[in-house]
Amino acid sequence: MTTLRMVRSASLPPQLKFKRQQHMSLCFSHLSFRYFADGPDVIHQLSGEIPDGRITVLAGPSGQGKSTLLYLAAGLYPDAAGQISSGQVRVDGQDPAALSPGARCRLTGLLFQNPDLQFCLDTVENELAFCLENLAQPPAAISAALEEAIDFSGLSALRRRQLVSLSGGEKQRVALACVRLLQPRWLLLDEPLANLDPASGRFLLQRLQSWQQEARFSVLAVDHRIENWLGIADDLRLLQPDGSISAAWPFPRRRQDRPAFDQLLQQHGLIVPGRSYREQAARLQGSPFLPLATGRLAGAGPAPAEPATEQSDGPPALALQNLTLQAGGRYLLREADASFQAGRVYALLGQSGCGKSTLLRAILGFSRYQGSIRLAGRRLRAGRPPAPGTLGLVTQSPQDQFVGGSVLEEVTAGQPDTEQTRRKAESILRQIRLWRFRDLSPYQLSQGQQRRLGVASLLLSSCPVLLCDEPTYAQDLAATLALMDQLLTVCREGGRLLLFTTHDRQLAFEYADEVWEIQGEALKRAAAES
Amino acid sequence: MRQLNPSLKALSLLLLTLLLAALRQPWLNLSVFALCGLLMLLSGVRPRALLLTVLPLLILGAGLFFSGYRFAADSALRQVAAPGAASPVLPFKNSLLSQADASRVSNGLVLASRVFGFAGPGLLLALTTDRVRLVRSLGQSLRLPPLFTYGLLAAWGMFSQMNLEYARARAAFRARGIRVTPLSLRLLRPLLIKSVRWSEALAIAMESKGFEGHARRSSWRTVPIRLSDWLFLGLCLLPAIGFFI
Amino acid sequence: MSGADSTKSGAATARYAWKLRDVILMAILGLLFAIIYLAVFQGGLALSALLTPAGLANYGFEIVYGVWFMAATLAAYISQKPGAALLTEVLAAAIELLMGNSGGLTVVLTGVIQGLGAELGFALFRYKKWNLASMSLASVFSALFIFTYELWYLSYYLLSPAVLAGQVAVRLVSAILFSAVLCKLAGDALARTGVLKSYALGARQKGVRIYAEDEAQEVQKSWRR
Repeated sequence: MTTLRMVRSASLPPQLKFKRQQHMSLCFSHLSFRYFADGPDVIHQLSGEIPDGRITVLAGPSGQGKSTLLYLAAGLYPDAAGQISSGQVRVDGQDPAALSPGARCRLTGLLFQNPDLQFCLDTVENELAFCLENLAQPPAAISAALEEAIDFSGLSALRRRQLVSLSGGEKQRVALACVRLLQPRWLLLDEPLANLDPASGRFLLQRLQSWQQEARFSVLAVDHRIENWLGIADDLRLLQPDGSISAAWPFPRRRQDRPAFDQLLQQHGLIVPGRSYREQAARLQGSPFLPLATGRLAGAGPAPAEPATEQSDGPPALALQNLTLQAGGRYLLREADASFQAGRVYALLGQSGCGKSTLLRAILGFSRYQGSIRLAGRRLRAGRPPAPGTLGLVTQSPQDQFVGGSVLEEVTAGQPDTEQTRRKAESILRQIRLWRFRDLSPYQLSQGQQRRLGVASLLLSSCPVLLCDEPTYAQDLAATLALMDQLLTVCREGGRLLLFTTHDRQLAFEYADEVWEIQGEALKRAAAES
Repeated sequence: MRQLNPSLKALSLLLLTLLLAALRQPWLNLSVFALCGLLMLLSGVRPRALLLTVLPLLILGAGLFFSGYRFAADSALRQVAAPGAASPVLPFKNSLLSQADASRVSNGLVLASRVFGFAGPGLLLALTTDRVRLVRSLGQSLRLPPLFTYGLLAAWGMFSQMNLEYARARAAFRARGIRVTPLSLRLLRPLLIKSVRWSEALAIAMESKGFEGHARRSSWRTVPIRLSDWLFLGLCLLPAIGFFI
Repeated sequence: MSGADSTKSGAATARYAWKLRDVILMAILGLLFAIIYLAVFQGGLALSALLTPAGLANYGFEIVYGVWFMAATLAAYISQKPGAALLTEVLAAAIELLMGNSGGLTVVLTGVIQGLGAELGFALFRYKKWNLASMSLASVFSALFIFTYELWYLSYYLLSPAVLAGQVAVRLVSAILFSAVLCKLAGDALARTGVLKSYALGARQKGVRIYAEDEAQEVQKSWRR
């Protein structure tokens, strides 16, 4: 496959070559890893072997170190962070951390979760060339390989575009083209679809599958959403609560294999494809998977449809009139009208790059627009932020919204410093199981904990409108259920308006009173089936 | 301008700037600025963008002019007022201006024109140079280690993200009803955390693509040094004649 | 920057070798403070416009001059390595140049001079003390170094000594306020969040208390499937 590999095998005597074949796997043995010398093990005495030449999905509840495991397999840890306190990682018999980046990238390649933080050059072409320049390939060879990779990832129309102007899905296609150029023997995927709309995600995985079938390299993917991989992956492995990797469970090829497979997913608290969130929530009630003190969801769902007369008194909590949005000289929305009522929940759907986030940004006053946006009847000034305390914000990455120096401060920020505030904050933090971490910085929490804190921190504030950008992004089932439950409770109790964006149609229709969609520069009510 | 070798262009313009600093000729400063502006327009810089960058310069220049006019050092006045020195600075001998006033005006002009003379070459480089070509040529012509040039490029790529992050951080505080000033420590904290996280993520991403800070690498596009680059260098050194006049 | 640093990092021990992550962080800090400077600069511009008729326009910028040194002292405080301040200043200057800085090409030279000033400040403490005192001294030297250069470069010597003395005084106060006091506070606040564990400043940070009680235990016990 690669010159490196050919050179090595050519120089080995035949018996050694055979021996090498036996080690073609990704192997963890008694591996323990911690981020800080004085901290706890994030991975403890983990053993397991992933055979080569297959597409394997690794799943399991959040916070068990799946991504950490990938970074260890990629040889990026412990060089970039942390230390291995016992055991070892071997990829095809080699220690990936001992290789230089130039040699390592032919052994392991990575697709990252966050498409915004993986490029260092300006245009698609330059970024792709960068990969091969690193391997000191001659310009003519780079040009030839570039054409092939661009063609393979469907990037011909985008090749001279600036990377910053691409949507999340397009960026991940560029990332795929990068690993296509580097041709690693092991491709490691860290939830690369977490932020993509279903169509972009499908395209990516189909390209990956056809490539894998022809080149027979190995793929290990970490993902919460097993449905992405139906018909694509070979094996499912689960990272179990005791820290071991389960035996391989084949992905169902026939219809009659599905029930047993679904049963397995359900037992391990994973999202069962095609099953409603409501049903899955009922099955999880009282389970330790739910990150709530009581282990029970409050069961806040969409409110029963209210009679139209009740909504008509007073101006809507949020209204868009004649709203036109542009980005990079392209129209995202043209003369859109919509009004959103207090006390109700709205979901906003749309392909990645369609302008969902830009719309939220316009409301927040980051980006300019034509037309008007009104909050409770008051017109906002384009490009200027609304008055403090009128708009609550739950950002896609909870780290974008933290304002406090500690977990406790995060909940009480902006509130009067009284005994009552403190008591309320304590009960909120106990409910989401974070009370014992109250003195930590919010940034020291795990991803799932940060998410919970991000939503809970709005419970004490009194802003009438809540905007949520992809609240369930990269969350496992239990966290998704708990989050939506929390959000809806916040909204219902305070009589607030909640507007959230998502790529998950099912989530939108199950939790929102109304679902809107941005499609072809228009904002309109969405139908349940598309 | 865009076709020139970026490294040599930067070097030429740097030398030009240093020459201007040594010569202290207001009219030379202003004509260099005008020439740079013309070159920018000829290389396709939008006039509006140019105007926007020049506006703060005008304020800056005006400020310096009045400083120089009102608070001239005694030595400066004597120097400028000397019969031989006054004429090249102020070609028009205005009878309405007293000798002292004339030297004050010229003092102010020296200070103010300087701003334009320096900004011209700087803007010319910034607005007509492709960053990736610059980085490639720094590696090819000046042999700078990729660790620094590509590290810089990766950071530069976060420019729009950082602006967004700044706005986002302010919005997060506003959402909680907290007012913050642009330099508030509470505002700085999330931005600094992002800086650390980004640098880790970008470094990991680059190394996973085989990047090594001091390894030999090839270049997909070569950035040659042509005759025109040397001619441009010569052009930039032209003001040096001023030393001999 | 090139020759000195490449030979240094090539030959230096692991403690002093620059990692890609360090270099990107320094450049990003340069970017961040350049953006903040621009935000503050608007205020400085308005102030200096007010002071223009009085001939004191320069003071408008002198007040915020210390923001220029922030990236360097902060990076030095975080990584606590010799050369960090200089390297950061140069990278920050390159970023400013790319942004279309009005100071022109010599901004890179300015970066070297300011960086050398800061290095001198830390070197006088033999790179052993990383506290408010060494950061203040680094800031003061940065300010003095760059002022000396501006005397020639911006022809400040044409201004009367009284005005210049005032200008230096304001600049020194600004330098200490922003690049020593504020940077110290910002660095410490950053270290408390735990993201700096792999840097010298974060490694010194003591762990924060996690309380023993666990609300999850009861649920764990009662749930059987």
